[in-house]
Parts: sequence; C-alpha cells; structure tokens
Amino acid sequence: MIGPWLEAADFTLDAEGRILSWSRAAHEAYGYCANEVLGRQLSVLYADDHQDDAERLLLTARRYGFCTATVRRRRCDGIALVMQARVIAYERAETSGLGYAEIDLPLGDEEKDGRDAAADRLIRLAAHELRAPLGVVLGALTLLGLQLGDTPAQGLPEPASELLTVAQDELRQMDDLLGGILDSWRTKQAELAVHPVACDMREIVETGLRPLLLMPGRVQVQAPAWPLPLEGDPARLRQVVRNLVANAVKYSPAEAPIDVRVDDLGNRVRVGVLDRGIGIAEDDLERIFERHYRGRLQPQVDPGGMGLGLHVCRTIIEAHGGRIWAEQREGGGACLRFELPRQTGLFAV
Amino acid sequence: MRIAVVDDSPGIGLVLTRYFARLGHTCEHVPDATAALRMLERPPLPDVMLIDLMMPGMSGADLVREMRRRSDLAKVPVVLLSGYASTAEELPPQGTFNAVVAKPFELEELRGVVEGAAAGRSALRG
Repeated sequence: MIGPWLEAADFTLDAEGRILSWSRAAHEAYGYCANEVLGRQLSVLYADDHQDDAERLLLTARRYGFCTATVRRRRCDGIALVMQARVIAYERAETSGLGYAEIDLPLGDEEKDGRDAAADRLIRLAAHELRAPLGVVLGALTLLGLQLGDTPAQGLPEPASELLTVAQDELRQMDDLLGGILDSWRTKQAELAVHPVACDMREIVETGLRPLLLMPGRVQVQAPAWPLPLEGDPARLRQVVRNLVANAVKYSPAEAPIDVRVDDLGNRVRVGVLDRGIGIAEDDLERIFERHYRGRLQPQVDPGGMGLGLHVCRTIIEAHGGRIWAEQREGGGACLRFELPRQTGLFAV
Repeated sequence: MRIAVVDDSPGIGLVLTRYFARLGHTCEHVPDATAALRMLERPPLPDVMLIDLMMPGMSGADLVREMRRRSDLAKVPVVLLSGYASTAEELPPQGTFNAVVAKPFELEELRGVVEGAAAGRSALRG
C-alpha cells in the first residue's frame, strides 16, 4: 500500500500513463484483476466519453508535482464510479524516469444516492405489495386444482385443468421475479435473513427442483438412501438448489444432462450441481459470486436475469455458516458446490 | 388437529381455512391479534397457531410475546407468516416460536411446517 489511506485504491503508472502496479484495494474498487490492467493505459478506467480526462489528470500532476481531482470512472462491469483521485508525480528509482502514484477514495454522489435510495424503496414496496396478492391467487388456484381432483366427475374437462396448471406456473415465475428483485435489495442492505428449523437436505433438494419444470431425466440426482437432517432455512436452501440448477440450465446446451450430487460428510453435508455447459473461466471462479457479475464465458443467446442468482446463493449459504465455491468440471462444464454444517442433536426430531 | 390463522388478509384466511379443512383439520381464521386473544379465551386451545407478523394494531410479534407471558398460552406452538422474510420485520425472541414461513408459500410446504410444529419438531426451546 502507498500512503495512509488503508481502504483507498492505489496503483502506479509509468511516464506514458501505463499501469505498473495494481493493489488488492484497486482490484476491489475497479473490479479488474492485476493481470487485466497491468501495462494498459489509465484511460481503461474511464467511460468512453471521459477518455481525455486521463491525460489531463496526469498532465496536471506532472506540472505541479501533485494534484487532487474528482474523477468519473468506470468499473470493469460498466458501473459508474466517482472517485477522489490524488496523483503524485515522482522519479522512478529503477529507471530514473517519471512515474505516477495514484490513490483513489470512493466518493458518494449525494444526489444520485438519494435517487437510488428512493428507487430502491419504491421497488421494494412494489415487489412486496405485489407478492402478497400473488400468494393468495396461487394458493386459491392450488386449492381449486385439489378440489377438482376430488370430484373428477363434476370437475373441469382436461383442457381447463391444463389452463389451471399454466396459470399456476406463470404465477410462480412472476413470484420468482419479484422475489429476485426483493433479494437484490436485501443483499444490498445485508437484510437477507434466514430462519433455521430442523430439516432434511435430501428433501430440500427434491422439493427445490420441482418448480423448475425441467424435461424428465434432464436432472439426475444422486443422494444417500438415508435422511440428512440439519438446521437450516428450508425455503432459502431450496432457493439455492433452484438457483444453481437454473444457472446450469442457462449455461448448458438444451439437452445436456445436469447432475446433482448430495453427499453425507458426517458433520457436514455437501451438494454439487455439475453441468456440461460452456464452463467458467479460471479467473471467474471466485468472481461469479459477486453481485451483478457475469462470467466472461457467455452463451450466444443472452441468458437474461440480473446477475444475482449466485450472489444470493452465497449470501444464504454463508448465513448458514457454510461455504460455496465453483470448480471447472473435468471433461468440460462447470461444477458448483456448497457445504453446510450439520449441527445435529439440537432438535428433538 | 385444531389450527388458528391470525392474518389481516381475508384471502389468506379463506384459502388456509379451506385447505386445512380439506385435510380434515378444524381451522378458524381471525383478522387481528385482539380477535386472536378473544378466541384463545374459549377452550379448547388450538394445536397450532399461524400468525402473520405484520398486522394493523397489535403486531404478530407482540401477540406471541403476550401469549408467552401467560402460563395457559405459553406452550401453544406458533408458526409465523412473514411478508418480508427479512430483519425489517420484527420477530419475537428466538425460542418463543416454532418456525417462520415466508409469504408467498406453497400450501404443501406450509402443511409440512404446521404438522412439524404440532408434533413439537421445532426450534421452540425451553
């Protein structure tokens, strides 16, 4: 680290404005790994319409030896950043040439923050208020379906029960979308709570897959023949299983099989979702769990979504005291796994 | 089994009452905490109570606190229904309720939680 600002992003540049060193804090602030920016011009950190600002900043630092400026930059994922940049021009011992050291502190944009907070509140309210009646409609349709099944003679003809199923499936999709919006807000506010009860991981995997409406046989589940009791939030853990499998579906060819493996590790339980899709680049194995981050390898057709699924999974698994990680699968494809502590014996099962 | 639903949404009340009745249980719906306390005055006590957290007037969390304060209601299993499933909503102290179910829920899923709570398979401690 250079300078006293421990949380500041710092890096050095050569006389031509090429990046020479890149700290961990700079990686976190801008999202680029060192190997992605070393040797590249400072302008890589600017949006296209602010490219000249890089040259101006270094010119001022060269002229006065030091300068402080508010700069509008861009993260690697395109998110705009406002930084207070301090740049020092110095003589590099190793080459006797000119160099620059820059230290950046993120600045809040008050007006923008206010707008963001208002928009967040509105989205949260809308998502919540829409979800409540949606739940009632879904419940009423489910009940209607059950009642029709009770009295087949008087029940609706086949096409009508098919329509009922379509309506329920569409409602579940709407609910997933609204749930995604709410989860996005919750992970941002560190508000995504889990409510643990005694549950069984095998059952969670089985029921978690049910709403995905996948082709029969597409997902192969391998699990022990015995129950795997643990303390966890069943709805949240089902969401993790569903997100991981939905992710595998998005990044795999239409008929490629997806394997779900549930392993009993004694005091822990491990669940893996393995696909034969396009895989994950080595550099992305950790980053795919970041909020809104999308891996470098993308299918030809945009898979859609908000880039939140895996971030939400990580938040949920860590809230359970577990861990989640990604691996490249031997023979091609991706493998996402999580492990949870069992903590059995806490419940009178 | 006797089930009581405390929720200000008439829709939730109707769906849950019919659903549990269909399963052969007796289910009563009341729209707020005050009505719930009145209902609890009349024996027999329910085997499980489903309580919405966010209700006008006395909240679900306050209703649970009041129940746990009273020796006659201290052991009634409680399943909380949560609209936010987040810390924005006030929960009663850990150990005073059996489970929290986030809305919207699948009926089948709720059934499992309710049956578990009635059987004492829960996080209710002490």
